Amino acid sequence: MRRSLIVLGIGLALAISGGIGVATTSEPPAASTDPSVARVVPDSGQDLTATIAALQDTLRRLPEDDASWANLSLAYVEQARVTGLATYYDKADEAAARSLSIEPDENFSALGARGAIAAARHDFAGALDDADQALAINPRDLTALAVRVDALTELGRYADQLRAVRAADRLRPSTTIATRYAYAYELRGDLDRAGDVLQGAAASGSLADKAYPLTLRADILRKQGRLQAAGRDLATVRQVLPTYLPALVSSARLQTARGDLEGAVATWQSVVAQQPLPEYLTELGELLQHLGRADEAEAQFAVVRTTIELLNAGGVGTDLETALFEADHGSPARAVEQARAEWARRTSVHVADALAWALHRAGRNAEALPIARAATRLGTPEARFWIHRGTIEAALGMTAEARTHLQRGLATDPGMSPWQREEARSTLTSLTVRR
Amino acid sequence: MTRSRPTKRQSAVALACAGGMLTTVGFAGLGPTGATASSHREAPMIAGLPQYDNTDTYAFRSPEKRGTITLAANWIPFEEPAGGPNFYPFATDAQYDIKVDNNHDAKADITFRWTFKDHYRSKNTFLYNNGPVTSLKDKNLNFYQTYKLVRIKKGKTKVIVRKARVAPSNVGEASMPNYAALRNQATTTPKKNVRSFVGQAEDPFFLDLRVFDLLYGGDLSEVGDDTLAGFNVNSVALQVPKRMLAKKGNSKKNPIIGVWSTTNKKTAGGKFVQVSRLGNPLVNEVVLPIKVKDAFNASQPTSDIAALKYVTNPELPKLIEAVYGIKAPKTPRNDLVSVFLTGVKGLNKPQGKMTPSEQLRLNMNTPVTKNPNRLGVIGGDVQGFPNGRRLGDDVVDIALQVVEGELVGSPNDLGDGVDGNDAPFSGSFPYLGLPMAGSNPDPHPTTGSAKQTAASNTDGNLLGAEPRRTTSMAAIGLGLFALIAGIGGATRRRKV
Amino acid sequence: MTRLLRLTVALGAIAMCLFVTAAPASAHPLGNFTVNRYTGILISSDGVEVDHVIDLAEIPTAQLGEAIDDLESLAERECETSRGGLELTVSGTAVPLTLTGSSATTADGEGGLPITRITCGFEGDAEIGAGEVNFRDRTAPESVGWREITAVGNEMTLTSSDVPSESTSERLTAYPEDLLTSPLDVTSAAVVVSPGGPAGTLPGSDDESPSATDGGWLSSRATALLGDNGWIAAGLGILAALALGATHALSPGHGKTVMAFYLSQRGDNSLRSALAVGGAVTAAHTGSVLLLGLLVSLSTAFVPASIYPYLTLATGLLILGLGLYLLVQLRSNEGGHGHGHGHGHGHGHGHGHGHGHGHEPSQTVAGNGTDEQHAGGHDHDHHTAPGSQSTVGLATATVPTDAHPDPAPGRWGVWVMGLVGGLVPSPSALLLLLAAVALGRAWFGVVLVLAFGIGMAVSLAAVGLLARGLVLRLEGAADRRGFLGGNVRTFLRYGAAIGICAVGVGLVVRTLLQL
Repeated sequence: MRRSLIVLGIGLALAISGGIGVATTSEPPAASTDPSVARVVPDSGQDLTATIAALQDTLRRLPEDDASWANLSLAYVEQARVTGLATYYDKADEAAARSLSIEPDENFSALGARGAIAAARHDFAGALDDADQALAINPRDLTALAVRVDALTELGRYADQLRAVRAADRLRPSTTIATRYAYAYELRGDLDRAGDVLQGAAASGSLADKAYPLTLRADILRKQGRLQAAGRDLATVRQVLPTYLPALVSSARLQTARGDLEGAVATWQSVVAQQPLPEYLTELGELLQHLGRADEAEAQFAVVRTTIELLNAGGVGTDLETALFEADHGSPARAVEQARAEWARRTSVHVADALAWALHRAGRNAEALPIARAATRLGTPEARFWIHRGTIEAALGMTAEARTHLQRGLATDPGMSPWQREEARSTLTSLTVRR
Repeated sequence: MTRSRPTKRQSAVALACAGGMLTTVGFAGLGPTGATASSHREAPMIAGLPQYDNTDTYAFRSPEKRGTITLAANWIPFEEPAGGPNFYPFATDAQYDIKVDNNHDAKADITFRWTFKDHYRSKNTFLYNNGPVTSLKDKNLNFYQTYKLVRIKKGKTKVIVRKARVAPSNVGEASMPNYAALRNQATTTPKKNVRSFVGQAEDPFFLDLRVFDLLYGGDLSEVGDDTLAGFNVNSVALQVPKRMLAKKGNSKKNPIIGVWSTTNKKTAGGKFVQVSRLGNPLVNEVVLPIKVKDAFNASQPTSDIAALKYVTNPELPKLIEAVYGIKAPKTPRNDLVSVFLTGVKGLNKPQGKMTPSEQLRLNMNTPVTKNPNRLGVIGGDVQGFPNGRRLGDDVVDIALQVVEGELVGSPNDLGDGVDGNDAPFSGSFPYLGLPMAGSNPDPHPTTGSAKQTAASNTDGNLLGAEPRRTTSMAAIGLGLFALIAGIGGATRRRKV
Repeated sequence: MTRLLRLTVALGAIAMCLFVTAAPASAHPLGNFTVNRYTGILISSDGVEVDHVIDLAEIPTAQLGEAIDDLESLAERECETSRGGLELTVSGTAVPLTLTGSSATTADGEGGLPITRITCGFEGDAEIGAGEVNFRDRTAPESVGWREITAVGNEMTLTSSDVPSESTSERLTAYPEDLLTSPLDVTSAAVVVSPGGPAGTLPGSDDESPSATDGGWLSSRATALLGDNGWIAAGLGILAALALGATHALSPGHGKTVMAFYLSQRGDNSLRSALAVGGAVTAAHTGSVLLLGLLVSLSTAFVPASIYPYLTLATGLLILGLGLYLLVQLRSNEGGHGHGHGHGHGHGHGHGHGHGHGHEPSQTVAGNGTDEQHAGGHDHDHHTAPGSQSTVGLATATVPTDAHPDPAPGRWGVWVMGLVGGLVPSPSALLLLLAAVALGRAWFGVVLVLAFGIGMAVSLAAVGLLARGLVLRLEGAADRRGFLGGNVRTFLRYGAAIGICAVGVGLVVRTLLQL
């Protein structure tokens, strides 16, 4: 009797400990004696996948190596950006936490990585905070400098942004900073300067590093109406990195600008087959709508709605793209709600534009006007901003301003969604008729 | 396909049963990494800067031309020859400098500056060559670089080499059947006793990078692979008469010079700023804490005295003491100050007034050793590191032994187990080993290849994870069986 | 051996549900716009069999649009498209693949949105001797997601292979979460084969795609186990089911208390009663699982989760009824207890155990209940009585033998017991049944469920008997010391009856609150 009870007790203990064993198997295996490689020097030009493999290997040998955990975190963030695999963000998060738990003080690399993750998750205030903490330890940490610029940009603190990006450029000149430097000028309407900086960035740097600045420059050239030059840049990128998604997106817009709408549809379809992000789906849907293919358009919009549902299910607030989508193709009331919530957190020109447009769609033009003005406060050459502002002004009967701004918008980017341009054109026509 | 419907339902049921009732649980702990993450500009974070990254600086009395000094510096570590075509140009928006301080005020008196230009034969900017390349000027070489070398002295700039060709990246035997010939053609003699070479070379640095593991509790007994074996670098090498370097041109009277290399990069705003600096090897890895590394790269030697505390009270010996029980020598470590900041007295420490600063100091009058000792000065060979640095000096072992007190009466034999380079150095200028060819199927004969690891990793690692899981599963299974056996036993006893 | 491993894995998975709170698998582990692909290659001397699985997360599923309403043609279309991207060469010669089967299933992903799993089977005929077999997956080259290839030989030996033979992701059902592992991105395989070797099967199953989708790993393991033909696997499966049933019965609820009380009433025949009640529990549980399984298979709208509270409620009412009935019985039978006293004493002596030992098992059992309530409560919420911990304690203090075995709890009492123990079907058992049905081996599923029920019954009976033994000894000890002046039994009997009522009330109230 007693013995059987003991057996029973041991059995239970075994079963429970086994259960605990299962629960904890997600822990990385203890240091294996796998031979080889190299501590990875960040910026060493090693290929990202190889870098990650080497860091993983190092950490399997040295689980207490906080610097490698931080580097791994950063490499995971980068890999998430490159591959679009969200799981890398979660891994990055854990790796950064691991690094910080080993070395809670002076761990600027992990703080920088954490900031990058926060920014990717659109927690820009958190990102700024992490970046500031990292820079207090190492004022020249490249990641933290970049994250800080990004956060200030997205928070709408443009004066600080310009100061930060200039300082960063002096401290750590690099493709990383140069692309942000160019963006600061682009936002302020200085497309020539932005283009020059990007060209400089593309000229230096490794082959893979050229893809990003060249794609950005193609966008700028397109906005300037220099379609041929834009096409050349994109062809170059295709040669270096045939699968580079941002270049594909830029190609689709370039095709739109050239009037090759069928080609643009095909390109967009290939884009959303790879990364079905709401803004891409919306743009494809609007293009199809413009071509009179309402059913196909609706199919794209349905996917956007699914995405919104998913975001809600995950407890994540929807973002600007979905707010704009709601305004144009869903419920303007919900759009106002979302955009206003975002406006309370940050006051970037993009948020202002989304809020103004949502208010307009909800019929609240008087409220929308000052915000539409805020969206264009930097003179940003973003066609949408000007068209939205002009449309709001038209609704308020401010004919002269409306005409100016609608024309400015229509002149800015021939690659913009033709459906949106069509709406703008008809508004413009109605203004002329009214007169 | 009649099955698909029920299966769908069943799996839904299975889900509901197995995971507990999802609806009642809610969705805790989900980060918003899901559907969208790109509505702001997702610019790269760790875009590489290897083109601007100084890896090593060398300064030594030329063994076969004793009236001259050879200066060399490397950039772009870890150039992978295999899996290409891979080619690694110098940056065109950078100034590559080797600086010489000959009056010990920690300021550069002579700066040698290399700048580069790209050239394409056809518009196809991504094709390296169209066929075998047998000479530097071969038309099959579609892309090539030229360099300009100037000497800056007292604000005056003098061109030494103009528009010379850079030796190309060794993309493979099919493309470059005789690379040694290309190397020879890339070596120029602009004037008497001055020779210049720029191009790819096998990374002359040799070490097992895992020695740095010991900072994190790694095991030194496992080292012994040259982890840089088979990787190439971009090198510049310059041989000049001693008098060109010495103060007032008098190397007899002023034999001691300090040397370091730097890289300046053009900012987006259009100015050049210093982004990399390297004099003594391993300063950034061993002496300085990681948080001041970036600051050091941008700093001038004149401000080095601020870093004194890191030198006199280094972290490394303390770590080694903690991990291996080798007692750390007493601080402050004035012996290290002499190695890193002032030079060793009676050997390469200048006489008279000087500003301590981190430079590679060379006494140009030290006679050339016939059979060099890899351990340099601590091996009894005063022509080696830290009196300048030859290509074959085992700086890792030297640095390890020195920081562990070799110079202050704590002899030791610490090392990384790698005593020499994988590729042979040549006996004449530029001395550097020929770069590993891209056609080499296994350029990293030891285990040191990142690529190999990447490949072997996926296997080893994934296969390694599974057994662990099954082990704990087996434990559960065992537990359950024991449990049921126990219950069975209990009932049987009742019956009796 | 691998079968044993699989078995233990399957067991472990289910045990995890029992012992560790199961984490809700909600967001797709690789991100909700991933399209993940797995290819398994089986090389025989007369050709190659290819198992291709596509796992579409929520958004790609949404992108399918209305196609998802016709899973059959969706599967066919997608498999046909994939076929064009799968390139197989044997010794340098391209081998065309033909589609041999396709199926698609959907399951709930994050926010209840569907996710899709498409399974394709291909065959390529070729004479394969010694030589190289190369495979490339060129389907949707830039799409984001996991990419995996495995290769196995069937009476062929792979002398070299750059892909593993087992699927790291269990054919896209369990993505590893190791922080130091990157998602796989393998799109090509190079294998060198030579003739001869043991027979091989594709990882997962040799059957053409059953695939309970994102219930994930658990169901896939169970399925894999079920998919194994042969007696050893079957035997192991039954053993596993027995073990599962036994452990399941030990989790809170399940009327252990009531069982203990009931058995303690049965006097000499306690063992026989235990067997009878065990049989009833098995019958009731098997019946209820089968019924539920039938309902699930017949009706799309039927969600088993919704019926659990009602079953629990019924159980609670049954227990309450039983408790009340016993109270009434006690009142009317007041006084006639002399016989029982004597017997109880004798029994206690026979085992000759002292007081101290008496507590040991009671602590074990109570401790067990506590642990599980914290750790495993999630899975069993629906039938966990709030007072289950204290009731287990109560059980040990339940009144011992009754001299006049009550006719009332007799025959129908056995069935009440059976219902109390077996009315609420175990999700694990239901899962086993459904997995077996999905494999077209329904009969085996029934056997497994039966085994599960027997396991439950054995363990319930054992606990009951243990408790009874304890109570007898307790009473004996109390008697010897003259504690409570010989009225121990009466006190305990009332206490137990009231306790049973409390359990019933607790269950009922709790379930009502949940409803």
